[in-house]
Amino acid sequence: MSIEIIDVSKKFDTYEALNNINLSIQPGELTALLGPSGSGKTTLLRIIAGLESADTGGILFDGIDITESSVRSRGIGFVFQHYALFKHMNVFENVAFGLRVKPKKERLSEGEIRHKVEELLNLVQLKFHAKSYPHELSGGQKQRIALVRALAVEPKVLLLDEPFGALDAKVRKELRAWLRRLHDETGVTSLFVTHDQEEALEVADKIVVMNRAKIEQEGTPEEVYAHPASPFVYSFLGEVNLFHGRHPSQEEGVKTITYVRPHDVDIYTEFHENTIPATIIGLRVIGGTVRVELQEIDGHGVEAHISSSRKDQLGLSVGLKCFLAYRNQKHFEKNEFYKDYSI
Amino acid sequence: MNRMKIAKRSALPAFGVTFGFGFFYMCLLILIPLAALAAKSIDGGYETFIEAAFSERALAAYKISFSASFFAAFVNAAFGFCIAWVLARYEFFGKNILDALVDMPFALPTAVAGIALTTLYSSNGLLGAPLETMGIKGAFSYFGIVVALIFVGVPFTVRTLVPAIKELPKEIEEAASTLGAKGYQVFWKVIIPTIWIAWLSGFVLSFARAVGEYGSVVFIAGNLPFQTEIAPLIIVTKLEQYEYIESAAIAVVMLFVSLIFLVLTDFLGKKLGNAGVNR
Repeated sequence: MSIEIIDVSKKFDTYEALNNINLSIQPGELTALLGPSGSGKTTLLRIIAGLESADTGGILFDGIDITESSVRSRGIGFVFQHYALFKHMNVFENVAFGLRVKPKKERLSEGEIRHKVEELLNLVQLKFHAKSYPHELSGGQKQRIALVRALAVEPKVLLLDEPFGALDAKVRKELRAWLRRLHDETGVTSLFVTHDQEEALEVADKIVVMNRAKIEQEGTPEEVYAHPASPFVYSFLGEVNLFHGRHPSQEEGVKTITYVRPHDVDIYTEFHENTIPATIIGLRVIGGTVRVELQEIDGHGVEAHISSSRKDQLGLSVGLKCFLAYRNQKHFEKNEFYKDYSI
Repeated sequence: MNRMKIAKRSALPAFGVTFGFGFFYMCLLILIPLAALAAKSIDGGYETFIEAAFSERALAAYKISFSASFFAAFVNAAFGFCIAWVLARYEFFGKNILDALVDMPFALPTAVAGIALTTLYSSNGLLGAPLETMGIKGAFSYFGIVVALIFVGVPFTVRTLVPAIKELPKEIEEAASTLGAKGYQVFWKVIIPTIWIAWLSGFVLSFARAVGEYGSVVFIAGNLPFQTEIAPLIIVTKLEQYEYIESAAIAVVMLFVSLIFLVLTDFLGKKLGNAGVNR
């Protein structure tokens, strides 16, 4: 099912959560709404679900206006960050809930419900936990139950609000891959909110980057990563080094900023053309990657990420003088809306 | 063995002190007086006890006391829920006043409540007159007893339910509605099962309070033996007639029934509560 969001705006008292959002989502796509907290992404998701109402604008599902429809009648599945499982019901009953509350004529027979729930529990490998209660499960298990509970009613759209936000790093990674596989199997149009750029880049077909109540950019992960439309998108999607006024063809009076990703910084121990002298002031080995802290000759700090084998090859150590070359520099004009997002 | 003891130690090793002190206080304030009461009741021998405790008049009074308390607690459970829901969920003009009003029966001398209710519900009172035209006798009747008991019990239901309702996560209801549940299904299948233990304990507290209530009821009840005489009143009457043993006997019966009721609901709550609720 396709989703069309037209001119949606939303204010909470004086706080502007969404400012004239237009977005269309293709059937079967897995889309990530990515942005920092307060960017309006969760509000947008909740408006699509019908849990919140837009001040202006409308939502179309498959071309049909559902702006005024109730949550119940929209045919969506919603997954909450903190699972929102019914703690007085066991796992089986949680998953069966959506099937049991259907009107009598549409409701499956008890046997069919049993069969369907068991099938779903198999899908998430939690068959043996059918009789467990939510408080007996781990966070990852709870979120898998929440997901199949949403899928049990065969929603046309699956909406996930920071689904892995409350989980620890390892479980998070596993569940990400699992969500991707599940999406490929079911083909349900899915939309998930995240503030984790790695999660968005890894899982989504399409990324919608949001900032301060607006959409900054939308596109495939490759597009938004390689061709960021704004300094915000560039700095939000990965780590950056930032320089002021280094544009090669800089015009008088126009202030520019230049970004370079740490993995686009090359380190040489001998002078090459177009390199900048610098001193190593710190080295941190993190697995196979080495984070090198450097200081340019004018005092500007730079971070470089290189492989640990490259570090050994070059024989880098703290205090060593070396030369830096910057690949894939991105130049942006500095305007009044500019805000420094690099950390 | 030593190791196990160390492992069991908590950050605040206060069990011994608090338990000892608590138990001492319990003995001093509750157990010893109650034991004295029980001892007094059998002072005159087994037969006197039976005669006093299970006389026709006493039996009628137990029935009135416990049934009226039950009705009152039942009404409080329903209306108390509404008040608690409104207080926990919504912001509105005058909320603080409503909040304070709920606690009034805690603070108000019960005699004052009794007199006020009697004036209101007597046959020429503001509410009593219209009730009488409908054929219901307001004051000096069983109805009046229930009204007084509702009054004293209301804060107990509301105060136990408000925190429980406040703790209900909004997402639970949202999740239910995204799964297709209608409003009444969300209420019965999700909200009630989550808070019913708090609801039950509110009911029990309100019931227990009603069983022990004396001050307000004596004004409104009319106190006719076999009709509107509650058990606590018989106890007081007997005391006034210096029949200490008889009054103690009736008190012991009430004590025993109340105790059984409280233990039973506690047990029931724990047993059903084990199904994952309130954790």
